[in-house]
Amino acid sequence: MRDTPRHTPRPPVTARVARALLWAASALVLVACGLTWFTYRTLTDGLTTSDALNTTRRHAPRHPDNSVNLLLIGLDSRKDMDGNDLPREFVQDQLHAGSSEIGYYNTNTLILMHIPADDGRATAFSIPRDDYVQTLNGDGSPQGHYKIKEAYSYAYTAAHDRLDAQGIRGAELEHRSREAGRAATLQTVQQFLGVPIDHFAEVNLLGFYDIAKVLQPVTVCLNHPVHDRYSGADFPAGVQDLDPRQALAFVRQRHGLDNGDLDRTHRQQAFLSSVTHRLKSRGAFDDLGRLRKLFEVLKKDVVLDSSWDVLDFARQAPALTGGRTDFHTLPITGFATIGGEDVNLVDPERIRATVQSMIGPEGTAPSPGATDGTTPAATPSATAPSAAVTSAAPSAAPDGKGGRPASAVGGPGQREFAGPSVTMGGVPCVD
Amino acid sequence: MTAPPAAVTAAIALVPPAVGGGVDLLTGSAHAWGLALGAVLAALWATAFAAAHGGVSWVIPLPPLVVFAVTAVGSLLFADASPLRGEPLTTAAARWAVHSFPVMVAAQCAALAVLVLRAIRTPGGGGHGHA
Repeated sequence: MRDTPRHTPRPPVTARVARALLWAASALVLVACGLTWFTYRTLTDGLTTSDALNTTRRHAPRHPDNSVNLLLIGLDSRKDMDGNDLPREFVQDQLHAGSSEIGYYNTNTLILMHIPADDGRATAFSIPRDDYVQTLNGDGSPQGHYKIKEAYSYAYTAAHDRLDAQGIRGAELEHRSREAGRAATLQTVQQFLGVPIDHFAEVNLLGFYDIAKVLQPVTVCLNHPVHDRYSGADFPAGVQDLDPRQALAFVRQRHGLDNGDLDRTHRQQAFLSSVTHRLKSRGAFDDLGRLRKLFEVLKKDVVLDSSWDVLDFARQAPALTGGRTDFHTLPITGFATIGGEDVNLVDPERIRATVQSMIGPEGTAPSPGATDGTTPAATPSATAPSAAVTSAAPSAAPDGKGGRPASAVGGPGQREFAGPSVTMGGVPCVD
Repeated sequence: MTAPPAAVTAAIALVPPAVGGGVDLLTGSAHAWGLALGAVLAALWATAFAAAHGGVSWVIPLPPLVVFAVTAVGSLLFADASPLRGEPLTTAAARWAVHSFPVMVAAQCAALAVLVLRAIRTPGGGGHGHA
């Protein structure tokens, strides 16, 4: 089609220049947006996503503002996404995690990260895995009173049996059973803490190993030397760089620590602090190549909720990587043995009040008399009186590592937490 | 008194995408169907109008610019996350690009389709593309 018929006068120079600029701007916008879109799709296509949050949202407490709550789930499974056993040699030698039968589908790590709506500090809560609470199924129906880590496995097993009876096999059986496990964990944690969960990420042992492999060496700092044959942790005191196998041992060790699992939560917090500090300092969030490598691992080993927009996370990431996150381990009221299992006793009302006071708007803390049945039904015999589990005061991170002492952080609920808080933004020293 | 063709063409090119974007905001549509529909409609209509009244060469490059502008302005004014509320501009621009690119491609294809159809229907050309 001719644009300018012969009988029409030639447009003035200014009009021609303006038109040329219009075409150039249009082409520039189209190409730039196309490249951005292609890059985004390349990064995100293939991520394993879950719809487990859809049900949880129906039971969620009201969100008071535009803050975001992320739940990190660390699954103690030695199987891949399709339910196949990981190679035995790999599990034993690299993961130092026994056989593929150990661990089952327990959620050994549960960390709720709260990113405030404003530019304030992010807050994270580690939930001790042996907290004895009322666990729920994904639809909100009660499972009973169990360790919080077992909500996943009970729902997984029930769904697995039911689906298997329906003739579903293979990878689909595994995927759908895990969805039930995720939904149960999300529902249980949401009920336990009294705050809505907006997004979650689930990683298993292999995923953790692979992430550490991309990010290695992982720099950590220990207050004391440790030697534990169960996890394979064998480290001197002080700052040190860990390979993926050592990093896994670092976050899994509980034997030989004064406070066992509670100290382990501080290891996990320190690990997160270290890797995010490294990502930030190495510019991984700005380097497309590194980002792509990390995404390849995420696609292989990590499950994200289907509503989690990577671009949203890019906006939220600075709050988590800029040294503006405080980690706390939720308190327990003591230890007990129930049904032959060692458990942590907790006061759900107190925990909800503490969490609300830290991350909820003023005046939203539940009333002391409120109850939802999460108080343990049994009356266990306390075998350990420790209500305030403490760790040795951690030392400040060494010079040059950008660390900060894992000291107490002010706040209304500080004295409620188990052990010292860990502040993200460097390499905090932990026990 | 009637508006000059250029003004009518500009209105046709701009108003439907803006209305569509507004509908998306009001309905909370995450997929920007309103913007997509408005942008494609505008591209079809504006190109057909310009082909009949002149100014095609001004209309054809408009869809990417209009779609990106509607996306960006809507986000700046109404979204929870925007550079006006502390979001880094690069992150916001990436979001706008990702969200608007499929729409701008659809609208651009619609505009080109009008030209192709007119070329097929009127062998030898005959557009009134004066500036």
